[in-house]
Amino acid sequence: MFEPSFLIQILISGLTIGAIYALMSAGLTVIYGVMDIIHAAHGEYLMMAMYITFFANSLFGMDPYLSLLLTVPITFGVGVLVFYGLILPVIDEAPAYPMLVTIGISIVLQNLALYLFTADFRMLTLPYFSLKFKFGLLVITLGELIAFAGALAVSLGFYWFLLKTDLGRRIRASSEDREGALLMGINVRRMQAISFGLGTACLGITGPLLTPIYYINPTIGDLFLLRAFVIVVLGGMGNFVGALLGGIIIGVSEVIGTILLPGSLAPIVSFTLFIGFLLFRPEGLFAKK
Amino acid sequence: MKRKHLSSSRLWIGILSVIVFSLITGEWVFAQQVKEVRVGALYTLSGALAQSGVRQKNVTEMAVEEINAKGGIKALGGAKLTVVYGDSQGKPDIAVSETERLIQNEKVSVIMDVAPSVCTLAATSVAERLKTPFLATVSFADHITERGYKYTFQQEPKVLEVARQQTIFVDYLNKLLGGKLKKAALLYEDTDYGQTGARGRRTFLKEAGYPIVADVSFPSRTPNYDPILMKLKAGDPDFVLDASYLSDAILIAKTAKKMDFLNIPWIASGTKTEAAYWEVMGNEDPGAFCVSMWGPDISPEANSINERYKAKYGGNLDGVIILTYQGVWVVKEALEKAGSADRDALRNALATIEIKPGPTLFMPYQNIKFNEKGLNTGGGFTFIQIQGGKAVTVFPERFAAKKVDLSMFTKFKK
Amino acid sequence: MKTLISHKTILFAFLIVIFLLLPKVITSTFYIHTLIMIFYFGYLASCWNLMAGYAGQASLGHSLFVGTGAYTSSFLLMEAGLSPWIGMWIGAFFSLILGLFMGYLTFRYRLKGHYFLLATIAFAEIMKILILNIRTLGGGSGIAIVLKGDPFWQFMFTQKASYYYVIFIMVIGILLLTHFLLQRRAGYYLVAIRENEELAKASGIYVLKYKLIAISLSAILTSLGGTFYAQYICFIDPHSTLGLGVSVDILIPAIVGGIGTLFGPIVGAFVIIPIAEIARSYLGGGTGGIHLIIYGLFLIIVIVFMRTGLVGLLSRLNILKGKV
Repeated sequence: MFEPSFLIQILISGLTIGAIYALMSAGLTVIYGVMDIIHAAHGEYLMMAMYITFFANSLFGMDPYLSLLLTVPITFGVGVLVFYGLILPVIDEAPAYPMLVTIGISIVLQNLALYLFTADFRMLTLPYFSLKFKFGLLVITLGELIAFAGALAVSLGFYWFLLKTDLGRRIRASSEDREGALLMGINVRRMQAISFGLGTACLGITGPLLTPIYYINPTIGDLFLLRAFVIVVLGGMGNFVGALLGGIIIGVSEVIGTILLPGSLAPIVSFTLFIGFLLFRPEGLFAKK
Repeated sequence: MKRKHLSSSRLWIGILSVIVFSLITGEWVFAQQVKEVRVGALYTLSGALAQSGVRQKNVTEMAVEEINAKGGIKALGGAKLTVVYGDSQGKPDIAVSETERLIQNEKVSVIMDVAPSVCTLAATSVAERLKTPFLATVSFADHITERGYKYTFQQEPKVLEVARQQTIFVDYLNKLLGGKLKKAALLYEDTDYGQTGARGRRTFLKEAGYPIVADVSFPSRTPNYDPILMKLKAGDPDFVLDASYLSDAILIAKTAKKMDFLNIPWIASGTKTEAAYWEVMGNEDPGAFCVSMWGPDISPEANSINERYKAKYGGNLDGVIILTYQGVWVVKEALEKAGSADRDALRNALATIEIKPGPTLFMPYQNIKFNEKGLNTGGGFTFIQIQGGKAVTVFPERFAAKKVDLSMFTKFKK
Repeated sequence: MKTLISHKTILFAFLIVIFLLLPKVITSTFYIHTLIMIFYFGYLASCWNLMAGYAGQASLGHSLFVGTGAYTSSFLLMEAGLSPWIGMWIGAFFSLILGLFMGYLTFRYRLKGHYFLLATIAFAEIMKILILNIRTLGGGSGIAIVLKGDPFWQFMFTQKASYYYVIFIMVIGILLLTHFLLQRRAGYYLVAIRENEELAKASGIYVLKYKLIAISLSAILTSLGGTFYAQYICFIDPHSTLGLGVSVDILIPAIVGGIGTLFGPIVGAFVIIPIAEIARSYLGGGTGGIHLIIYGLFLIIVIVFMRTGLVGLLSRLNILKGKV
């Protein structure tokens, strides 16, 4: 069972899902870093993006990857609107308040989708996704490969954006030292709005990438949300690189956990790591930023 | 004076008799003129399981319309059935609250309900306390009828029975495949549904002589099934007995397909017989087997019911939804037997009723008869296989619409 | 000042009398059930408020205590025939241990704000997963509580109204306890810690001790609520008593009514529970999800536009002065 080739297969499987986790967590951690908000509705933006992709395809025959042109601006736009309308009024209150607003948003969005689209599971099956690559017992489809590559590329691109561009620097400044940024003349509120939009846009990207792999359903957001939180803490809340690496680590450790433990106890590994880090190393594994 | 007195007392007797007589007959007439019988239906209409809930509601409406169109409850002078719906949201405390509302506010005579088991368990406690008969049409957790309740009736056989039937079916498949099915694998989700069934399957498989080479449980709603299926495949099983809810079943089949793991028989304990599954996955998971209780193809009557449903609501019926349809008719029959909408009379009617194969028994059961615990003892199962993108009944042979298709089980082709 | 207090006391007493008499007037068990749920969540929210509103430690893990209480007393009842009246104190004891453990870990390692929130979520979810997998505690099937013998001793009543009185007494109990706690030194310290922890520490207040007192009380009392729930619904399982969802249900009335106020959680429960019930009765049976949309919208509106909660709103209008 534990020969090297099997372990490599496990690694590959973990990396693939890890990249997806990484991108979603990156969005979440940026939101936390720049405005100290635990965004409980994060998963619902993924759901939104996936439904847009699904209907674009089933009604207009649009290729899911082409839907990125739709999902990204829409999730960004909705994020910014939500920020100005609902988050901003409570942003300086105790941490529980903004989180509760996002919980409310999550409830509304999920049930709105349920009402509009019913609870039916939808799926996209397109011919060119049946191309496969074998690694022993493990099989990776083209769709999964694209998702992996896409998520990785965007994550790195986002990183470059934060590091090298002017806007990215201003966002980082707002996150690292709010008062200093204000003194420097940076419009912190606008940076926060943009960051929120960017965070939700991460899901606008992940959505189309995931449609070949998963089903589409109002509750799909929940599937990933808790993991994203664990990763954000692991990587250090607000730490972008940490979220990326954390995503990969959780992806791999989950796979290992599933192989070693009876299936249902695997999430306990994640949660224990989670608490361990919160307690002993809240700045995360990669305390740099 | 004496005459006057006599005639006035006769007058009084006369008046009294008229009053008494009209009270007796009037009450009877009044009962005859019960315009409607109110039936409560506790379904899951929102939340993650809303999927089936809406279909259950549709099929209930259809049954009620048919019953009312045929003259309603004849023993009550043609009283019409009216259904009042409650939504448990899949949560037991809300199930309790809704049951209260249906019984107290809406004054229903009887309640029908549909899964999940946790809600049925909670709701039946309320019904017992409030002395209202409760027909569990689709929940089949083991302990629903084990609590000594007098008002609870369970239409569907227990989870354990499913496991036994699956083993019988494996024997049948094995004969068709020339004895090549040797090693078993179990895959199940980690709540009541999966765990209880797994226990049963282990027992029956052992009795039948099939060693279990992989026994894998998984937390429901996992995003990544690669490692789980890799664990399963590593044992090189000849067949898989699986138990999972809809969302997981879809992902598992997708992952298994890409791993070329569908080249052996997969026998599901439920879920795959539902239209909600094969309408989405029918072409992706050809050859999958599943326990069922019905199919539109088991008889011409069954087919016509399905056609009627399709015409009205779109989509197909399946072995799970049909239970609700049957449940409405059971209630109707009980009302006819009781001749009253009174809750206790109805309860007694349900306790003694026997519905034989005929115009009101749609399931391939021997009969519908509830034992002293409230469990239906006449139940039976069928098995479907997904062929041509839909569920086709293949076993027992007397109900089979088509033969078992073995072509996709390439592991056994030498 | 004195006249204000006595007005308040009279109002309070009047309300108590009305509530005590309600079951005599309202015969429908559905409405009694709704009232019981209102008081149940109001009670839990008040327990949560003790820790969050007064000690300033908002936790999303309180379902841990509900579940511990419910499972301990139920397990002991069904397996050992132990009366829940006793079982609930054993459950409270376990909750106390859990609470102290949790509290010590998180306070000692200086978890604040968001980190504390997340840690509490994790604790609650771990507990839920553990119970799901322990078959002797029912696993996924939960524990069904069946009447075997004398109802009263088993904390079960044939009359719904009796449950109503029990939970009502519990509510009065926690309100009185909170009120008197605030009059004492411990209460002042807690508020000081809530307002500014660093300053409090600098003033010489032994912060850890008082936080642990807050979490202990909160844990014990919440746990008793868990037992009540088990004995009322007569069925418990991980999804109804453990996990993040239950924790959120507990704190919503407190937020809506006003966190850190005495009557806030109760007022909040009186508002939010009927709305959820009404929305579900009229809209739930039809198109899926609409009642939940209303519930969610209501939550958002209250938090965004009425941050101090309803009690804060009313106090600004000088009707009730509930804030410390």
